[in-house]
Amino acid sequence: MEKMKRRDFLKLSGMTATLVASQGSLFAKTDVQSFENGKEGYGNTSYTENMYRNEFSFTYGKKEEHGFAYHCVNCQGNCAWEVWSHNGVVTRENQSARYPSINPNIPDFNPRGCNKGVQHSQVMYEKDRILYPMERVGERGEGKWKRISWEEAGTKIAEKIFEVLSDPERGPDKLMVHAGTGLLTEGRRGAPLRFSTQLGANRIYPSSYLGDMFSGAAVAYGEGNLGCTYDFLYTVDTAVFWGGNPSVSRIPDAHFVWEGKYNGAKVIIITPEYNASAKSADLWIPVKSGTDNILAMSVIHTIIKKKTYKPEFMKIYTDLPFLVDVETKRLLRRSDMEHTSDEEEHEKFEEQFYAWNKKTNSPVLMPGTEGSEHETLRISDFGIDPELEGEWTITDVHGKTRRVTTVFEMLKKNAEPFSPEATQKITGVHPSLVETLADDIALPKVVSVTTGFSLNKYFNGILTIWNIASIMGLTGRMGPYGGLNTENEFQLSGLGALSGFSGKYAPRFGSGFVGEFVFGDGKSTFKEYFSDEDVRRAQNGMSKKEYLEILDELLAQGENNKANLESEHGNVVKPWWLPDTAIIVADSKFRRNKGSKYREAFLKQMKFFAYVDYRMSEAAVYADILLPAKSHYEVYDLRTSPGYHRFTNLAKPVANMKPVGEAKDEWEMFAFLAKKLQEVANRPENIEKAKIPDHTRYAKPGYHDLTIFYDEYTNTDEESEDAGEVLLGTDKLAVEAALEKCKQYAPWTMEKMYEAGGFLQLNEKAAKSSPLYPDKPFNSNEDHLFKFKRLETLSGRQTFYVDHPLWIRMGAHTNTGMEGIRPKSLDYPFALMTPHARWSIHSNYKASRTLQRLQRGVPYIQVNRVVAKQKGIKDGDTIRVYNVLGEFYAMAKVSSSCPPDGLVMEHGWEPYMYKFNKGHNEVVPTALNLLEMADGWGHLKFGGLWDGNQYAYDGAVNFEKANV
Amino acid sequence: MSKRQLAMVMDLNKCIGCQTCTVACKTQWTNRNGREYMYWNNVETYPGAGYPKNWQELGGGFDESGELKEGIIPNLEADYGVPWDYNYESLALGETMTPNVEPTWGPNWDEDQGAGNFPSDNYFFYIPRICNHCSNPGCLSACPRDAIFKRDQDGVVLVDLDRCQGYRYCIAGCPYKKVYFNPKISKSEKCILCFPRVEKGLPPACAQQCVGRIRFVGFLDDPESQVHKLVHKYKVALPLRPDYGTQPNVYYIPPTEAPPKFDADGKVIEGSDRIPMEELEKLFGPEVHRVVKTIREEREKRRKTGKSEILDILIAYQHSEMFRLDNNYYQEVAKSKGLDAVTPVDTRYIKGAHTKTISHFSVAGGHH
Repeated sequence: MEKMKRRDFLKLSGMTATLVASQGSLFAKTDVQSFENGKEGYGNTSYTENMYRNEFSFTYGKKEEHGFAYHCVNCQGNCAWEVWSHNGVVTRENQSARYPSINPNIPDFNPRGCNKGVQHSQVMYEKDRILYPMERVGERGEGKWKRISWEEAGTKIAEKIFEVLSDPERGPDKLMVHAGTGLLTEGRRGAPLRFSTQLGANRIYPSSYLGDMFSGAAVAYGEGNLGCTYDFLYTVDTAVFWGGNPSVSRIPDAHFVWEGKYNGAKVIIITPEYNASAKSADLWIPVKSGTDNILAMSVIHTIIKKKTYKPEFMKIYTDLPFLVDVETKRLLRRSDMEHTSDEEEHEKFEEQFYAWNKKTNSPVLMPGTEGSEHETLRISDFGIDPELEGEWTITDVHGKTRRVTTVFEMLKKNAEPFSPEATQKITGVHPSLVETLADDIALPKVVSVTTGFSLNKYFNGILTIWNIASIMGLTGRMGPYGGLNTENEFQLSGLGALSGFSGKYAPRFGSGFVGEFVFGDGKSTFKEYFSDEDVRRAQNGMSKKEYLEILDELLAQGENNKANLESEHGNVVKPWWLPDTAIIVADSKFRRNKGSKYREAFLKQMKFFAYVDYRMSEAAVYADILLPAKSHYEVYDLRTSPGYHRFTNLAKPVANMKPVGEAKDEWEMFAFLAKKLQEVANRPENIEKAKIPDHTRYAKPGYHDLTIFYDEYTNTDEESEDAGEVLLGTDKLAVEAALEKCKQYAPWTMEKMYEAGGFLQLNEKAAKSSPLYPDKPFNSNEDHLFKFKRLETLSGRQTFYVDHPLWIRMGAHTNTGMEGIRPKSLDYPFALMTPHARWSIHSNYKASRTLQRLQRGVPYIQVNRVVAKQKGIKDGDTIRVYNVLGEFYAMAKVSSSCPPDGLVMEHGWEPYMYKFNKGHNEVVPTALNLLEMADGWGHLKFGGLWDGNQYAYDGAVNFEKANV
Repeated sequence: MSKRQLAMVMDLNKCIGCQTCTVACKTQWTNRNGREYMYWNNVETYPGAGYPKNWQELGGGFDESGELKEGIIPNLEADYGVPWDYNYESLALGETMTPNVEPTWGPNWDEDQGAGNFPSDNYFFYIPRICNHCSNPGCLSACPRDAIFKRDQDGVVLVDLDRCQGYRYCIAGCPYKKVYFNPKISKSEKCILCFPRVEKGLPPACAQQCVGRIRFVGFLDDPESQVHKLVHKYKVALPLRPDYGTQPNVYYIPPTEAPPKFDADGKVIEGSDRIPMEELEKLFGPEVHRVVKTIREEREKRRKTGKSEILDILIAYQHSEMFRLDNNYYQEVAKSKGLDAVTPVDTRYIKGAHTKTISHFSVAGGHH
């Protein structure tokens, strides 16, 4: 084959010949030239070469005119991109790929990016871009709009805000100013948050309503966000991804996993479906959808039976040696054993606990608990060697004899029913696999278990993550030895200078999952969908009636934050508000929320809402006023990945950026709205009503003064000027302020970030619970391990025991397993799984033409090959997926990777992308788990750490070939 | 033969199927001017029909005696898929977002579907594909105009757009179906290995922007290049469908990594190959058995000793070290042709056999 072979025209197919005949030679540009062999010495290269060279030059533009950017859309990946442009128009993006290597023996973080980020240049000029302020002139969602000026839009919104705030019947309780997760940045996001806080408006926790809150980790560690920078995964012996698919939903970092595998790690993927990560794993464990908490209990069972746990670790770093009353299942407190002289002492004694000291054969107070005077966990200094097992009798302060045992004994009892043989019929996992998994976690030196965000989206997901955390606690996994990896988050301090007011005003935070439940009348969906049997199965035998009674009581206490405002010892309940006026930023809530009734209920309640975004999301379609925002390449901004890497990226527009419509960045926009509000407040008819009274928890002076609203917003009021507060009001000012105020950014400036390639490297102050070494990957809780620092939990240690009355009622005083709430119905035998997407970040970029062409162009859903055949469904057929709540249509993708008892569909599709505009959440119920509703216990008090999750996977469905 | 050959190695174990490469290529070259339906770079799920549909069945390439084989030109609607558009402007009007053409096929249509029985032996993996810039290109041999050439300096195969008449024999002749007809200019176009980027010191978009870090680019005759080491020194990178006889210059580390199969009870079958070896042999030739064995032995060695030169290369500690574009060489070529000097826009990837030191450039991208 080495020698040149002549072609043989006659051998070409007839089809080709026909095509040739039809083509003609109209486009020949050159006279006849003769070239015998194009393999070398070809004589006419430059025409073609120069054409492509010119084309490249056009897209590349001038290097000095390039911008830098990242995409702040809640993938949390956060990657530095170099933005190319020509004459102020963005042409394309190329990863900056300049992150420094921290260690020559560990792969670097380049070239961070993904398939979505690489096409923002195509989306930013798309025809679904919101270009001008628009006002609705028809019915909501009808699509009748009038273009209005910023002046008009600003004034109208300001008047609405003034109206609700100055109405004594409504006030701040009825106003929402909320930024969704289409805008997660340290610069721009500050604008709506500052506006919201200054007004006393309410907003809700995004991670909660998204089902992305690691409540189970918060129970265990007093911190939901923990784990490692992803380069740590290169160094481990076992990497488990439980409910996670890093090759799809952690694209920029996935290489560390596979490079780590080459480096000797065993990679285990635990997911109900076979996916892009499972395909390269050492072991794939196909667990049945929603049974992960039971599989985890089975691992706990195995570790206990095989005694592969680490007693010396458990004694110091966990509450496993703590004493519990066998009868009441309550932890033994100092207040049970000693009289207290006053209220304050009583409170302290309530937060001090005992272990049984082997050395003295008597109960001993453990140092390091919340109420203890000793802040260390170094029990050896106190002559303590706690027993992990045993039962003793003690006499309490009332002279009553009590039987006490250890938390570990209680755990053993709870774990007893979950043998691998017993759980197989629920989890579908063979006992031998459970044993392998338990050994691979317990035995090697460094083991990291990464929990996927899908786990929180099941009703009992809180138990899954708590149980996995407990596996880590039994096997001594922390710091250099690995441990639970939910999502590391570096700390950034000083950014309150942008969004806050040095304590003058405080945000009115509502619960995310409860807020949306109430807003969308979730209770009627719940009542309609779940049976008494479903509730009993998922809530430890509690009847639906009793469940609803408890729920009603908790909801009543949470209205307008009532019970929390009355409480003297911190939050006791999940607060919620029902606003009637709102400004909502980058939050496609009609896509996201579950059930078929949310939108209707929301629109009914909401008298007026303005919506801010750069594109027409489902929420935008229904807005009363639309405000056009700039998108990622048109702004100055900063963003630190929560903690997948140690860099903060810069957004800086390309040179001479040509504006897209009349879009404004959020700082300019909200400063403008603030100005309009101040003008409205100073109108003669309003000025008397312009001091809006509020609870001092939200406004220290007892009111919000709208007559100086703009001045305060931009820090140009007298008080702020005197205090030397940073000047605010544009995106660029915000970036400069952030770089000046945030300690972890020092000593970087915008110029230095630009020179480096659009990023800065966080300094050592970013680390929270471990040192941030210059040459080692980060993993949390090293200080706990080596310096005996307490965790921010009630016990100061990893929590295996929660004696909140509701948790005891649920049998979850220590780790346990419970099946999900998804109905077990023969009529609806399929679980609908809607994991995080490869092709969008939630709804962001779902509508991209570039990306849709690499999919099926319409919503599609994986159907198991065998099941499809039984149902007479072929690949490409449209199917109807349905249950009693509703229905939706999608294209069937007949797949060998889909389990027979489920349907797998990437989430994030806007309802307007489906036939009849019915999104897949039409068939998804909503519910509140009482474990997550429980509040006011130890470290489990409502806040950014302890809220709850909106679940997404509890729908049981059936499907059929559709005739539409 | 060209004087030197620029080549690419792709590691299929590390490919995550994210298609960042596909989109990077699209925005660099094919989002305009009649190229919209083309994917000079695509990633397909195997087993599957691939892109264009059933390309492996469409002929082209050479038979054992070196004769060009018959080939079929794929059909836009049936085999490539019409690149649909949407009614974006109507979304504000409350309308349903609808493709203007009913989607029936596309470049990633059978993504993740795989074959086999769930969960016992189902499998899939990804194959990214670009033009192979073959040493014996089927397209070149098939062109009746002799309007396809290999660049002397780096072996990049180009369609001469000055002389191409749009006959499309090249499409039939390429067994990989990596030449496309541009209906707007009635000429054929194809992956150009991003030579304008390479000449200026930037790796091909699909390679530099690959976030799975699976692609190495360099000259095959550069003993320091990873492509040389993987292809010639360690012989672990193989061309796709070598039986087509075109001598590709894109090579693959075959997918050696997959979880074991399960028996009927759900127990692991130790040592089982979830990816059938006969499928790999079909794709990569009989050499694949040796390569699979080598890679697995290297993994074992690494686990025991912490050492393996092959895995050191595949791990790729520094992204910038995956590319050796030898910029001095391109400078010399430009000079010899009397062309303007090409100053590199980036100095991170420009080392090579002719570019030992880069001290006369200021190093960009400061690690400060």
